[in-house]
Amino acid sequence: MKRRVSVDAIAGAIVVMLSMAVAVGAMRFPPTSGTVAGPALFPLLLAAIWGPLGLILLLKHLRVAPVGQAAAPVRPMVGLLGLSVAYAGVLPLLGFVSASALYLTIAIEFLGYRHRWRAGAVALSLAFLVFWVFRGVMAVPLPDGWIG
Amino acid sequence: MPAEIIEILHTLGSGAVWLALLGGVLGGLFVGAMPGLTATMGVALLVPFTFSMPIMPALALLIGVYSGAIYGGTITAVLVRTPGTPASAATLIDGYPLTQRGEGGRALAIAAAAALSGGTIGTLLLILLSPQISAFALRFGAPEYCALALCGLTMIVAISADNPLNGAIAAVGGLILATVGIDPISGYPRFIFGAVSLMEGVSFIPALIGLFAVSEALRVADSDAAKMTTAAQPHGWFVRQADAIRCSWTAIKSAFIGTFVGAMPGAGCDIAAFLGYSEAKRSAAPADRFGEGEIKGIAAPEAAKTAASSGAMIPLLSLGVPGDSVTAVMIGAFIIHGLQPGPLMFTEQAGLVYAIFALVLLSHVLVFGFGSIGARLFLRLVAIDRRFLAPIILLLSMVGAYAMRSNMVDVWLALGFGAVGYAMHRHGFPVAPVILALILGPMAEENFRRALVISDGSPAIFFERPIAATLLALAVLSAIGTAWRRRRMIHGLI
Amino acid sequence: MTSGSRLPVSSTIQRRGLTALPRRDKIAVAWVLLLLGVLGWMRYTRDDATGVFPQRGLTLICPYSPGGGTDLFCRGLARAAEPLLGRGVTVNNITGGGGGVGFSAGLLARPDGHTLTAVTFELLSLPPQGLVPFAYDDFELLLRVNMDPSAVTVRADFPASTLQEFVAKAREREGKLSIGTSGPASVWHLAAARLARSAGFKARLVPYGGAAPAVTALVGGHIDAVTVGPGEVMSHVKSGQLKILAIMSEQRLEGWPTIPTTRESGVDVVFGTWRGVAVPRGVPVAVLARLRKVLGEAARSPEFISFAESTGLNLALADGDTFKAAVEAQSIEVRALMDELGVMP
Repeated sequence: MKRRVSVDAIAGAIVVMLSMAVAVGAMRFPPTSGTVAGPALFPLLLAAIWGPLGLILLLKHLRVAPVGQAAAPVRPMVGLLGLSVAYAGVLPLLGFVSASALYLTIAIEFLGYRHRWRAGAVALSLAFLVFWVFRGVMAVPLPDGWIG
Repeated sequence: MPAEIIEILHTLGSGAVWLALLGGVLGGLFVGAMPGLTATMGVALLVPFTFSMPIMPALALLIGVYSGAIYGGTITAVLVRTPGTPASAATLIDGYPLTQRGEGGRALAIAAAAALSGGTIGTLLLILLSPQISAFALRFGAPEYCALALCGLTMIVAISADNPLNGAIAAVGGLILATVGIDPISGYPRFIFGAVSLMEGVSFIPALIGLFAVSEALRVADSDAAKMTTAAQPHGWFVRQADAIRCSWTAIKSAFIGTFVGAMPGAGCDIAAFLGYSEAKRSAAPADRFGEGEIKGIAAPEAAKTAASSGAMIPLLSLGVPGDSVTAVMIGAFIIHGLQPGPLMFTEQAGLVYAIFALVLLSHVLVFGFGSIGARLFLRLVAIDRRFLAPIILLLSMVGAYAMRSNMVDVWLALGFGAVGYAMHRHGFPVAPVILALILGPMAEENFRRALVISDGSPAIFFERPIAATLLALAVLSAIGTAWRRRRMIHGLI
Repeated sequence: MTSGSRLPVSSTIQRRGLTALPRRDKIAVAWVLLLLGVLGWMRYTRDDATGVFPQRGLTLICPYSPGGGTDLFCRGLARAAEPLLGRGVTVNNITGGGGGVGFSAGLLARPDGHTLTAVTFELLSLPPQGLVPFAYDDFELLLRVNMDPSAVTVRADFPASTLQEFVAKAREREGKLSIGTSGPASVWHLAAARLARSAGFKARLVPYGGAAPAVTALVGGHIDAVTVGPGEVMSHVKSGQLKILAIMSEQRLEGWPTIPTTRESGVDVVFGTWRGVAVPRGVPVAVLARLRKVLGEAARSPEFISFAESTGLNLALADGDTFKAAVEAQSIEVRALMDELGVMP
């Protein structure tokens, strides 16, 4: 519980800053012309609600002094997200089947499965299955890339 | 009447029709379960294939896909917190906690039964009251849609569980996100930073996939959170009698809400599901535990969205106006076969219309059958090793996000929303309000400003029209009521 | 799918003896090699080695979602062109940005003629808004297939049965008559603005999120008129809920022989949307010639003509040069109109 205190305060501060950015951005929109509401009305209104909400969150959790940050285990999640980002990067270059098979094999092994060949077999089969469903059955094209 | 009965019997006597309906329902269940492949997309991709088919099998195929896809999303929503279609997002709020307790079988049985009752009630209303309901739905113009969206937005506090402040922050953040893109009234680009891909706004499907499926897969990957599954408890084929009795009134009420919402041309199954859920929560008994695996919280959205899929056929068949995005696509299939949906069809081709009613009803029965029998098979999803499950969900999420518009930007968006959703979940910010805000925010803003264009800037348009005024009053009352019931909690927060 | 997956990792090693493991791995190795072989074969057969166009299947980029009018048009044309090319034509819906994303993708494709783009009126209305980094002349226009003029449509009970009476009513109501459009700066919005200017009346232009919601609002009586394509209101006109007063085309349409044109009704407006096919600049001349020939034949095939009839597409074939001249003329008109409407930032 104590760890969340500081995170909430940071979240509150982020919300306050973002809402100010939204307000500044929306001020530059063309003004409300005549009597009809213009494009800036809603963003300004929402920023005016969001900012104070963030401020409440910030102040509420500032009252309690933040106590030492317990290091939470985030490694698997960060690694997997990084792998997914890399996958999205190489997908258009390599092509769908090869990139997906590679991604699945590495990700499965990364999460602690030790049999590389079996992971590879599952990964390749799945990549082909998804490819067949999208391309063959639904006629939705997937990236071709160098390999396919 | 006898002529209609003969037409129905003739239709149902054809093997091709049955084959198409069966294939459609099975294909639809699959399409619905895949993140990114929605009911709209499934039907749209099939329409060209139906050009060369005779009319009844073609309609059977499309109706089957529609009903199947609307249910298919629930399976993955309940079991792996990955809603395959937007309409299923409301079901996971209470469905997934049940799966975590090992009661996934029970949750699916309730969902299937609620879907069948919703579909049946919706279809009966379609058969009996089409002209009346569609006349009512047509009275919804810009001010009414705006008021309806505001009604829906007042439930944000309701669905943000135990922390209204965090729920409100998530919701307003979602509303701000919803303003990104070309302004639909003035045409001015808002917050797009020169990106052509953002001109139509932050695409909804990648947001949905990211906030639920990607963030869940990341959580599954975390060894800490990996204990998401308790061993699944055995459950019979069908819903238990006690569960059925407990949910019956909720399901019936939701089915009526769903049918009306579905019949409105500007609101579809997703809005119906959320409105059904919020009404169930608003009228909750003290013993109900919404958000923690309350079975009424499964029955309500399931009944509402299935009823809405029947309701969407009401304006289509009686006026030629599609009730949602799926029926908008379906209209193409009607026209290509030389049929003009609308008032004339009811008088000139009554037999055909009744055969369509029969197909809609049958599709719901088939979905119920497959949903109940298949539940045991689906439950194995939960048993898949997390080291395989997490990467597979991620891969399907990214492919689904890509396939929607063939745009890599949507894959990046899904990953970004995944990281945000993961962080929100970890720090006690609910994600359901963001989804609701993305659905209802544009509806509220667009129609508010459109109404002012029509009235030349006079706000009287919202109060002079009886339906709009009633809905606005309801929204205000509901907001005050919720605030009053939670006054202690809100006071404690500030 | 999960041969080794149902067992937790520790028990896999304990329960399966060392002798059992390699055997499963051997099967896995064989399976991986087999699938890699399939992948290699797919890669090998993707491109035809003869070097004669088309070397592989073609892609037709549709900048709008599946199920819409342009999507149906693409799928119909692709199907008609396939037998003439001897290759498959895949429709790829690259959507977003009001068509801008699909147009950009089409321009970025390798200019070898294997990637075609379905181009529409929005190619002219997007660039003046300064939102997209291209102009219509970045494309090599191959063929215009259809044109849909705007149809001035009102409810059946509207107290006017000709365009003149409609204009008189609009003047009488001093700017309070509302016309629904398919969104700001969209083709039907410009059509309404053009009509109001030429006929000399003022009206409230109410933007909706597409033609269909605007038509629904008209059927429900929330607005007075729409200026969308005849196909969008066809079913409501046939069922007697709506009536078309005039169509903004040069001549009367084949499908609507009784409806007068705007010029016949005394208002000098010709305005509408069109659909055609284009490739990026830089495609070899021989390939261009082959594509023009094949697409022209496809669009004239009886199969495509009957498809167009049933979907309400108003065919108006024009070859590259005619198409280009028409687009150039309309581009100037659109730019001027948008200036006047103030939709250019």
